[in-house]
Amino acid sequence: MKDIRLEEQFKGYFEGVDIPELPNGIVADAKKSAKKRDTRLPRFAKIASIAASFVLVFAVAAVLIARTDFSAMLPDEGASSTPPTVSTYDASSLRFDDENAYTLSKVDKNLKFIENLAYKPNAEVTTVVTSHFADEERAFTYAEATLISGARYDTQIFVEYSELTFEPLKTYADGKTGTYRGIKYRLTKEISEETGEPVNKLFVERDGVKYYFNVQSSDENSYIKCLELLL
Amino acid sequence: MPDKQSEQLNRLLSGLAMGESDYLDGIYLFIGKRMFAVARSLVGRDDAEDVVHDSLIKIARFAHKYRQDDNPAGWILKIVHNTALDLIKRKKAHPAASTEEFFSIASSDYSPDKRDDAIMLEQAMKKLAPDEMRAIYLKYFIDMTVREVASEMKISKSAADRLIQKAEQNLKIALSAGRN
Repeated sequence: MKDIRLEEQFKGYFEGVDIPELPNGIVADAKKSAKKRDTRLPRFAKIASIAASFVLVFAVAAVLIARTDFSAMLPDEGASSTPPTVSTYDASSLRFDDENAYTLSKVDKNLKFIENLAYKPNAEVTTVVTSHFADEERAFTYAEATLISGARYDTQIFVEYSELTFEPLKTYADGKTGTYRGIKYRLTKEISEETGEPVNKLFVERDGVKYYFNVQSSDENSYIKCLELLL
Repeated sequence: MPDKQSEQLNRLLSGLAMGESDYLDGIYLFIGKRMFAVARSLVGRDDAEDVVHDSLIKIARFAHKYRQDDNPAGWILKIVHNTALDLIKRKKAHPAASTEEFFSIASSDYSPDKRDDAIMLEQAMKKLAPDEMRAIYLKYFIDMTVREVASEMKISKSAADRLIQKAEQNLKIALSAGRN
């Protein structure tokens, strides 16, 4: 309990403080940091649900394929059609365990950059989970992070250990190639349908570990921030 | 029972947490003066605006982490306090709290009709022992509970309670002396 007399005294004291023009300038800028939150499903659940939908579509397609005579659809002799094949897995084959962002390097040294990010005063790492297959082999670690550095960077990070590829990530490796300070990467640029903001989808493979970043920011070259995390 | 200010701030923080950025206007209008008072008491007039600005960004970003049963003014003012300390650390400067400048916000850019009372309060504060001044600052500026003051000052809850009571008593005596 505060002393009533002193509380009144301090109330008057705070009332007398002159503050800069309200609320233009200071507040208007800070407002950009407020973010509409989807209360229905966390992002990861959305990814899982997309993956689950894919499984369902795939299952239906598999039945149709089994019942269809493809002989009439075969390409002409001599024509070659060899699309790249990526072996994938989906969320239904995984078990997820929550992780502590501040001790991630104990889980795996390749996650140190996420741990470093969590300790930054201008960053927040929210969700962190590691997924395993039924045989306990680790599939990937997933993290959601926000970094404020000149602009706001909303980032989803996957660090994948499996030789197979998590189904929602299979297109990342199709991006344009580039090199940044010795790191070879692939980049796909998109625009978010929800916010109209640029989205950079970055893929890096290093020492047998695959790193995927999906970063949404007003910064069109937001992928650079992600690459710098890996330096 | 939360008071009216807490209820109002709780509603504003709740809206902000859902991404209603305009609620930040309400928060600033509601508690902006105290945010400035805390910032200016620690970093001085020139840097206070930056501290409040950075604090508002943090409030907007982390509103979803605020628990509705917490003390909203305390939560907001602690962000300002920590942001000010971060700035001090970055600049490798000493906090104003360690100098005579602490509690000297009434000297400039202050409402003339309230200035006399404010200067009297500041002078009374400066008569307190350093730990008493800090306890009063944490309780009345930052809105900390006794438990939080104890944790911040690294003393037991009962010791914090005794220290606050003694500080309040001494401050009232100093204020009375100032009026005479």
